[in-house]
Amino acid sequence: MIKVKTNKDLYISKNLNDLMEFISKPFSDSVTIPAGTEFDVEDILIDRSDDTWGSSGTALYCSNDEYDILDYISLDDIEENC
Amino acid sequence: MMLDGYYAGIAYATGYFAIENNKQYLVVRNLDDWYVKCFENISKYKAYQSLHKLERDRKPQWCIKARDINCIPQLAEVKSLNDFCRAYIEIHGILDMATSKNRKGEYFKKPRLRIYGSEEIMTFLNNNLPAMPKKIQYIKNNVDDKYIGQTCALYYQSSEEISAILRWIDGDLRNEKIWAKWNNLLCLNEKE
Repeated sequence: MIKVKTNKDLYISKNLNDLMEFISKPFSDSVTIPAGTEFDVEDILIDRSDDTWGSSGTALYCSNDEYDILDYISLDDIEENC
Repeated sequence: MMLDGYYAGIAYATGYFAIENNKQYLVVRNLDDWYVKCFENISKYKAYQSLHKLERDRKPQWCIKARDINCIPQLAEVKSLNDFCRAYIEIHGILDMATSKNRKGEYFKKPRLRIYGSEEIMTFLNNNLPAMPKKIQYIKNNVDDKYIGQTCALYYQSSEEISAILRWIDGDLRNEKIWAKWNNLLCLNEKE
């Protein structure tokens, strides 16, 4: 399993389906995941499935059992060497 | 003429301003004739098929040069938010089924809505769509191994939130082909 480590604090909260996911900024009911937290990489998004705009794009689909989260994480938010 | 609602959403999603004789006018291009022909309702100019980027797209684009539309609203000036978002998401949204897992570690399929665009538009959608504000994703774009810049994206993975978004953006002027595809996918999900 490939692991990645976050390079900044991230925020998670429950969506309407009661699943934890990353949110844009802290809210009253959000949880802060500190920088340096490790995530397992479950999948890699590498295309846009729309030939008008070309095949492009990369995002990591990551999980973390401690925070019970499975969500996309930006390449900008992880350390390059981990 | 100042655009609003669905037309403004189309303009932001697939239009640009051309300048001719020091005067700017709106040009809308898309492979789907629906978005281009919509502008025949509000402009006196006609849609036509264009061979622009034919090699890339493998079929002709549709185009309208609306010389009588010379400005579009700033995002903060958009009044009909749901109509604007309907057009933008029809054009730059992808609704599909993604694999997820429950707390027992069992994998299952669930709907996923991805919307792509500039950071400005993603922030606008994030602030207005009826869902928890998501973390904007910054996507590196590569075409033929060449880096061509960065796109932003929003990913919605809650079926409740996706249904709420589609209910909120639904309206009279809409691309029926897109909505039939979306409704079919959500109906299949409900049956499973």
